[in-house]
Formats: sequence, C-alpha cells, structure tokens
Amino acid sequence: MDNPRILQFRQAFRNLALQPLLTPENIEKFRVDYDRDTPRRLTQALEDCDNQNNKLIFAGHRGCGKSTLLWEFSRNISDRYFSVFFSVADLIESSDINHITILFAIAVQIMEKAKNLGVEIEASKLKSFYDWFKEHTKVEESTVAGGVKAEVNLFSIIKFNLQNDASTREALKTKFLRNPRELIDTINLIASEIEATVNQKIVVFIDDIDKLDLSQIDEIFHKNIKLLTQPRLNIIYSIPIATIRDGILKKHIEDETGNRIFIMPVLKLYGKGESHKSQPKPVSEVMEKLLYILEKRIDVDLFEPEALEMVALFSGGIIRELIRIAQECCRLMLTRLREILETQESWVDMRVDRAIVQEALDILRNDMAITLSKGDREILKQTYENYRPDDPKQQEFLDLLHNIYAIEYRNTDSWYDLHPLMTVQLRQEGTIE
Amino acid sequence: MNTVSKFENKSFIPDSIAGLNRSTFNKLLVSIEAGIDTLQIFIGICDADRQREQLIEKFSLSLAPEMHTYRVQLDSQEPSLRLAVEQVTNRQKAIAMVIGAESLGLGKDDPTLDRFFGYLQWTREGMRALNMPIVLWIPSRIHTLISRKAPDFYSWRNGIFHFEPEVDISQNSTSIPQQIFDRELTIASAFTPEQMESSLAKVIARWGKDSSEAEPLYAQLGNLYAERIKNGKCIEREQEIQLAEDYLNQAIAIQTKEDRLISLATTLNDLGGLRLFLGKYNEAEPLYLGSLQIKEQQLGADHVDTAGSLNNLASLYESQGRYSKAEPLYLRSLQISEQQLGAEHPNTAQSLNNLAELYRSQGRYSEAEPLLLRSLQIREQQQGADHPDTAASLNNLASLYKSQGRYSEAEPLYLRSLQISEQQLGADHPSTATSLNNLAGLYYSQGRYSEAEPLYSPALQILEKILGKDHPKTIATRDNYAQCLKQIASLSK
Repeated sequence: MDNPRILQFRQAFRNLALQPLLTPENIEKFRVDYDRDTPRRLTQALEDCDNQNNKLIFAGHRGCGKSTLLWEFSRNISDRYFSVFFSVADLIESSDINHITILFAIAVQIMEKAKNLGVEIEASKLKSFYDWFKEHTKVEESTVAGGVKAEVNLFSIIKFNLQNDASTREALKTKFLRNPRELIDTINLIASEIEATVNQKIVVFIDDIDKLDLSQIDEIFHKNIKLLTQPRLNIIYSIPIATIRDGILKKHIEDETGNRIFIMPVLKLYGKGESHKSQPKPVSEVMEKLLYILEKRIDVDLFEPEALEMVALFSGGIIRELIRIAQECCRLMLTRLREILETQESWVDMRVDRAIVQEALDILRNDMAITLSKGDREILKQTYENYRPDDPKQQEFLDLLHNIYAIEYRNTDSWYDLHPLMTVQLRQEGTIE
Repeated sequence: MNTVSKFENKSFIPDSIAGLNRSTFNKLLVSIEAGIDTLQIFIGICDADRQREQLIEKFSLSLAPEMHTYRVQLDSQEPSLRLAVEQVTNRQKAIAMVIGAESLGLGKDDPTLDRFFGYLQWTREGMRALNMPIVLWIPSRIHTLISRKAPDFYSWRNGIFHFEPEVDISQNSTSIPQQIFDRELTIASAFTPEQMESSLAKVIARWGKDSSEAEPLYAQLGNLYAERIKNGKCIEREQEIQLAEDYLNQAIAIQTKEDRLISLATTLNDLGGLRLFLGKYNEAEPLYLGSLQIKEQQLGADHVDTAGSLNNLASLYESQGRYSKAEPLYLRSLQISEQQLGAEHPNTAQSLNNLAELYRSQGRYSEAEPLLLRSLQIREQQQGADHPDTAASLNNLASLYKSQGRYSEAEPLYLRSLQISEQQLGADHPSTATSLNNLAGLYYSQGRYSEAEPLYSPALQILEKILGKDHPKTIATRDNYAQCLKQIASLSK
C-alpha cells in the first residue's frame, strides 16, 4: 500500500505547506536566505528608533516571505531586544480584528512572553496586571483553578476567549472604543515595568494583518493609526502592499509613522519587458534561488529538471506561488499514483513532467480566472501593456494587487506586471497579444 | 423669595449684559408707547423662558396705566400670529405680547415651526386691520431662520430687540458635572498609586527623571491622583492634589520638549479637569484651550476626541457663567457625536444632557426639556436603568422641573437618582452629595424644612472632605444648610 514513491510525494506535499516558516525545525530544514538586504535595513531602522518614531510598517505581497523573514528577524534580535512576535489572525477571529483588539492582543502577548521568560515582576504588580486581564476577558476566578496553577493557564484561557468567544471581543470593543485610554495606559505600564526590569526595549512584531480585507485595513490604519502609535513600544506592523499603493492611506501612514514604511521586494525573475517576449530569459541568479527553495523541500528526483524550472517561471517570483504550484503538482502525482497502483503499472520512477506542471497550472489559473470581472480584465490589460495600470490607486486595481493577480516589482526601478498565470489566461482569451 | 443660595459665582457675569438688556428694554418701551393704536411689529429675542416672563411683567408695570398689555399665546398646532392677535384686536390701547414660539419645532420632524413661518409669510395683508403694537417673542434659534423662511414678514418689522441671557439668580440646584474625559469616563488604572510610584522609581533609576521613558508614568500617576481626588478616594487630600499637579506638570514638560502632541493634549486636559474640579476656573481655561487646539490640528475638527475637548471647555465656561461662549461649543460637540457616533450613542446622550443643563441655567426651560428627555431615554436603553449616567439625567431633569415649580414631578426623579448614586457610586461620592443637596433644596422650596435638614448634613460632610471647605459648592451647601436650620429655628419659636 504505502509504496516508497507515494511516501516520497506525500512527504514533498507536506513540506510544501503554504504556511510561513515559524518553527526552528522548519527554518532549519527549509529556509533559504534569499533576501539579506531587508533584515539589514530593518536592523538599522530599529536602532534609529527613538521614543517618538518607533512604529515601522513592513509591506509586501502576500506570500512573498514577510512572515518568515520577520519571525527569523525577531529571533535574531532577541539578545538585544525583548522581542514579541505574533499573528493577529491566530489570536483574534478575523472579523473582529480592529485597532482595539490589536492593542489588547499586544498587551496579552507581551505579558505572556514575560511570564514565559520568567521576567521578575513584583508579585503584587503581577497580580494587578493579571486581574486587569481577567476583568477584560471574562476569565473568572472559578474557571482558573487557584494559585500558581491559575497563572499557568491564564493566558491560554484568555487566548481561547479572544479566539472563540464573540462576547468577550464585543465587550472589549465596547469598553475601549469609547475610552481607549485605559488600554493604552496599561500597555505602557506593562512595557515600563518589563523594560526597566530586563533593561531591554520591547519590539512587537504584528503579523498577518494582510489576511484582512482591504476595507478593514483601511479602517484600522486610516481612521485609527493615531491610537496604534500611542503605546510607547517599538512596533512593526506587517501590511499588504496594496495598502501602501492607496495614495491617501500611504501618505497618512507615512505622516503618522515618520516615513517608516519598508517594502519587501518580490524577486525579479525577469527584467522589465523580458517576460513579454516570446522566448523570455529569466535572471539566472533569481532562478537559482527559486529552484533552491524548492530543492530544500522536495527530492529533486521527483521532478524532471525542466518541470521544476517551469514551476519557478510561473511563480512570478513570489515564494508562496512557487510553493503552491509545486504542491499542486504533488497532489496530481499522488492521484495518478493511486490510479496506477490499481492497474499495477510501473511506478518506480514516476516523476513530475511538464505535462503535469501544465495541468497544475491550468487548475490554478482557472481558480484565479473564475473571479475576474470585465473591469478587472481591462485593468490587467492596461497593466500588461504599460507595466502599470491607468490608475494605480483605483480600488479594483488594489484588490487585484492584494490578491496577486498583478504583482509589483520594485527596487530602484519599479513596475507592475501580471501574475504569469494571468498573462496566459488573458492571452488565451485574446485580451492581450 | 427663595433664600437658598446658588453655586454659580455671579461675579463672572459682566455688568455690561445687565446694562445692555436695560437699554434694550427702554428702546422697546418707547417704541411701544410711540406706536400705540397703530400696527407695529416688534420682534423680541429672548432665549430664557423665565427672563421673558419677567420682561413681559416689567413692561406691563412700566407702561402707562391706560395701556393694556395682553399675553397672547400662539396655538401650538396652528401657530398663526394673526389668529392669535385677533383675539384682542378690538380693544383700545392694547399691546399684544405674543409668546409660544419658543416651543415650536423642538421635536424631531416637528412641522409646527414651518407652519408658523408659513402663516407669517402669507397672512400679513390680513394683519393690517390690527391697530396695535405686537411684540412677537422668539428665541434666537428662530431668529436665525425667520429672515430666510418668512422674508416678507421680516422685511416689514418695526424693530428687533435682542435680550442677552442673564444668570438666573433664583436657581439653586446643581447639575451633576458631566465631562466626557473627566468624570464620566473615569480612567481606571491597573495599578495602585504605590505600585505606580515603584514603577516610576525603577524607570527613573534606569533612564533618568527627564527621560521620555518616564513621561507616560508621570502622566498616568498624575491622572491617577487626580481621579482619586475627584472621586473622593484620596487619603491625604492636599498632598495628593500637589502630587497630581507635580506629576502632570512633569509629563507636560517632557511631552512639550519631545513634541508628543497627542499625549500633551491629554495631559493638558487632565490638569485642566483637576483645576476645574477644584474650582480654579481661570487656571483651567488656558489648559483646555491648549488641549483643544492640539486636537483640532492633530485629529481634525470633527474627531470625537475634539468633541470631548469642546465639551470640557464649554463646561468650564458654563461654570463661570459665560453661557454665550459655552453654547456654540456644546452645539459643535453634540453635532460631532451625532455624526460620528450616532443619535443613540452614550456620548450623544451626554452632549444632549450638557446642552440641556446650559439651557436650564439660562432659564431656557422649553428648549432644555426635550433634550433631557432624549438623553435620559438613550441612557436608560443603552446604559441601563441604574447606571450612574442615568442617575445624572434623572437629577438634571428633576432640577429642571424644580426650576419650573413642578415639584411633584421632580421629587420621584431626585429620589431615584439619589438611590442609584448611593448604590453605584457609594455613599460618599460627590454625585451622591449633589443628589442629597438637590433633594434637600426641593424640600426646602416646598417648606419641608425638617425633611431637608437631615439631607444637608451628610451632603456637606462629603463635599468638605472631597472638594475642601472653600470650594464654591461646599460654601453654597453650607449656606443652604444654615438657611434651613434658621427656618426650622424660627418655626419652633
């Protein structure tokens, strides 16, 4: 039943999970250091933080490796900073994420980290903090069985309530929306106590804000950014690239954070214009990086070399797209192997070839194309032909950017292009040449 | 004559207002005398019901005995000036004082004000038969509309007479103070003062006493002491007042140096609130103004926090009796709340309440009542029947009824308010003291001195402890108490 080839593909399939690399084992196994520049810039930015300008905005395409990079960065600086990394989406049910729940989550995460590290806070103060958390998350004494043990469980109960109990979140929002000051004050109090005790500055990394709808992000960063900049902590917010392409919002964020927006670039697989040629030549160095990322996760023996290259070429330079295509190929192979197993054909050296990749690409392309409207097609056509849309601030374009139908390539030279699968789609439809 | 003294400090009302009103009165008086037995349309603008009544009374006393002043009430549903005045048209040497316009158009979607303008605009021909001076009394809110909505009538007027609001000297109830950031939204702290002092010491040891790390602790600690003072929770009152002042000032120094504008606005507001509470009105004003200016610049003119600052500054002006400065600020604050937060939001209820209290202080009772009723309704629904805010609304509505002499309506409201304050805030909370004083004042007004007396003494005790012996409110309550004791003594003789 479990023949070795199936096991190999199954393992590859698992290794190609789309989640960011957040455990030491996974980082050890899969991490490819393809962007050295961004961590360097972040380190410098953190060192430049004073107590006034200490909010950084970290923007990038979904799936370009922001979380993996930030997580690793947060670990690397943990000897100099009290660093706290968390995903809002993991902590709070996403429809209830707003500036208030984000701030509350910051307080919870810092306090939990202090507890886990055994930061020595006076018992009476610790109790005051814990009481405050209990009061606002409806954790009653009775649910937490007495004494020391209670505190062991406290934060898991708080997190459970935040994630699962809508009434807890509602109560938080009701209380602090009208009067956010107590929340800010408490965060500052916690921060003062911890920073003075450990003699390190706190850095909070808030990840996965890009999982939210753009309208929700606008609500948070447009209307309430003043509050998000109120806690006296270094905070790094990771946000989707589309948000900073919204001119008004970008200006607003820049004004409020003192111009501290960092953009994690997508790997430029092609030079500008190259991908539109009939025989485009990828940048070999980038191609090697992408292939190396794949090789870390799968036995190269499972793919024919040209099939693997094809996967890389259609990724558009976005890591998650790269992984997604490869994973889809593995899924197809596993299906095929099951069929073959029944017909007793030879399976030993079955490999992913170009036809399988093509099939995987067609599946993914159809998934994407199904939601495209006529207006979207028009915008994508402009983007393809001019390397930018007519109006880069138009909401429809921002949504396309947010969902990686269009990709922004930047550095000294910046342009927009389509996801390679969209290029294929529009060509097939005859929308573009 | 009501002998119970009032809390407001009359000295803030410039003499010029009373002087101004005297000269307006004389102008209207000579106009009436000169225009007797001919059609004259005079428009008297007066916002305060009681002031208006007093003026009409004064006119009838000042005019020659052969002249007859008639009070003419506009119909509340069909408010036609002509129909109302026709009732007295065949009399000699008659003067019509037309009242009732002040109650028009107060409800939501209330069509009566538009009807009133409609009648004014289209019936002037019919008015030629009326050979008498007519004084149409309207509040200023109608004055701003009348030239637009009834332009023909307005162009025909024989004079506009604007009476400025004066401080009401017969009033003795106090409102429960309502400030968005100061009392009503008490900032609870996770820490006790001792814990926070210890954190501050740690931070100072690590980063220095002027460090930006110390600033949030100075600000929080200062506010924590201020809150304790305002809620009567402090132990060493004078010492804690000094600590609150010192810490807030230290925070302000660092915030100013480092351009932490939003925090600065908050701390300025805190310090202003403390000084307002302590009755140091003149020292509070520049702080509130500074805070408002920052919020307008940083957050925008229609931000809810800006509304909070507007409200606080207005309540300061109100405490000083500078009503005409307070009103536009309250109106702006209300408008922002309604727009940004909605008609049913607690902040809106609070704005309604504050504006109503201002109108009550000015004697503009007919405008105050619907606002207070709306505010009470929102609070009962949104915050609950036994919420301290609901108690404040009940108290203020009761005070309105008392000002109007509607004693039997006022009493149950005062009692409910007192009960909520005692239960929710405690027997020695300033709001409880206010409730006790007000209920006592009601009994006093009814001559029920022996019922009033046992209420004054705990009220005075609380106020002496929390506000200090020299606070205007404490002094007023002490005077009230003394008057009450005097009445009891004279009765027993």
